Amino acid sequence: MKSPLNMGIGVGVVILMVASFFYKVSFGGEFIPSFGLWVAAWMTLIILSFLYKDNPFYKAAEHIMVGLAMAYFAIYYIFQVLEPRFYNRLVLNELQPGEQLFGSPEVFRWALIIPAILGCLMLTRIFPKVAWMSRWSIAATIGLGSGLAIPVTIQANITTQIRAASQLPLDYMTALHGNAEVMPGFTNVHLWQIGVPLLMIGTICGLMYFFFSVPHRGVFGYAATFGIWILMIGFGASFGYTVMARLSLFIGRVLFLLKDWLDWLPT
Amino acid sequence: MRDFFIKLSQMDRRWVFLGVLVLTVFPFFVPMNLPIVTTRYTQLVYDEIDSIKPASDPDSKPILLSMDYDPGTLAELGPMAKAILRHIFARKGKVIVISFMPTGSALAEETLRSVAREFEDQGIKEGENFAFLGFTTPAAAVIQSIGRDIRDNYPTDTRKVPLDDMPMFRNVHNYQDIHIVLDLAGNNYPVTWISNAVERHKARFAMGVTNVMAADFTPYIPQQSHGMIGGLRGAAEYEAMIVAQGYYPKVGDAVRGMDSQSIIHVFIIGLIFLGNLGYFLGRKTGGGR
Repeated sequence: MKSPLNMGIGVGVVILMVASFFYKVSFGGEFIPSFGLWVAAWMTLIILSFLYKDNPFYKAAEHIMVGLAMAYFAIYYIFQVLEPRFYNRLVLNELQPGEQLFGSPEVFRWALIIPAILGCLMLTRIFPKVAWMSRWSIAATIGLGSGLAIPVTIQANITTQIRAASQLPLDYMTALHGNAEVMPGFTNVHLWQIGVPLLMIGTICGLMYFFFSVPHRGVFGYAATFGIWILMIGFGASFGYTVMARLSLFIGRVLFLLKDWLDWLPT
Repeated sequence: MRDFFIKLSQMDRRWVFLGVLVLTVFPFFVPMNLPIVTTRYTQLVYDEIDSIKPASDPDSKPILLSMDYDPGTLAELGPMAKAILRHIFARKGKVIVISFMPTGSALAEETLRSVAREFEDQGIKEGENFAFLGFTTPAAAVIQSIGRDIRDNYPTDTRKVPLDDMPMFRNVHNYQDIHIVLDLAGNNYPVTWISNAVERHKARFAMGVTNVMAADFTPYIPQQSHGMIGGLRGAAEYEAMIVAQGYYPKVGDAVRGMDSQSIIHVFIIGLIFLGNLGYFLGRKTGGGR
């Protein structure tokens, strides 16, 4: 990495970076916006340089991005969460109407100390001898999170989904009778006449693939094989969408470089 | 010929990156204007927003727009957010913007204010047509609390103006007073909204998501989500629709990027075909990777 060629390339890149900034400012750009654009543009180019080869500029940009994101998170949580929700309520006594515990705003106010202590206990992980105390905070977090999430998640992802899947035969019958109101926006009944049975059979066969109490032989084996094909088509669609998403992000960065930074495209 | 395909399958991948770069840049300077066909899921979201009443109507309900994306997914969700806001403001509707992403809240505010400035001369005003309530956490608890009263977690907007002092919040308390919740997310927040707002409070909901997540969220339509805008493609469809309906004079970055998207896809499909051909021919002779 320390060959004269690599050193030369590094110095050349730095000169190019500085020159591009002064070029932008000298052609009518304001200092602060130009500086912001300049940082964003060069960070983009440096990150993309990894596609050619790993290099010290990429490493530096990677570390700067992680550090900046963490600092940004910390500042946001301090001023958007800790200050209005803890400091202003407990110290400045700025409670909203209706904020009370056991019928008393004062109890609500002083009860804020409990989550504050739990939050501080998280930091005991820094000191190995008392690190065990952080488990109380973790337990409270997981307990509260689970309590909030489990009932609604079961309803959203299991109960309603099963109900929707059970409704498919009914939808199929509706489609067979030529009712165009099978689903809002879906007026192609012929597509439904093919799609609904395929969805029904695909769901059942997909589940059969994961049923290991019976050997995958004979009719069951054929059904399981059809199930794995359905799963593969699903994974393929997901992967195709993922490629599309990554390209979209790349197109976004190229648009930023050409339009916002270089002014080569109309806004 | 066989050697050619084998060599092609062993080509340095950096040539592929260069090809993608060239094909990305080319359509920006030589636009091909490939047709953009509207998908049903995008149309459903469009129809929902198109049915809002102007703020001057006493029965007007606001749209709750949760902009849960950060710079990493800005390329896909930024154009989507702009197109939706332009549609709402062109219809003189009301929109409440919130964010659960600390690194996305500033982006959300910047997008909202820049689009609102475009419609200033049409009478779009803060407090009457739009409000930015900013970032708060944790998402699940906040979403559930909006079911009781939005003021529980958002007593003021980010300017510290109480919600009760803003005309657009008159008679707006919970999901029953909101036209639809629209979540633009580069993460799993649509599931949080569905679990805590749709299932628990019967909120009306639709989403705009990145392409990565579009396949995973499709099963939620139509029972739990009224529609879905998927990635840059969905954003381009929405941009094209608001221009076609005369709500906005010109298309934006999403439509501009779709030419690149389409030809790169053709390029990648071609490479996959050639790569596989080289692989199978090489396997026959023992020379493939």
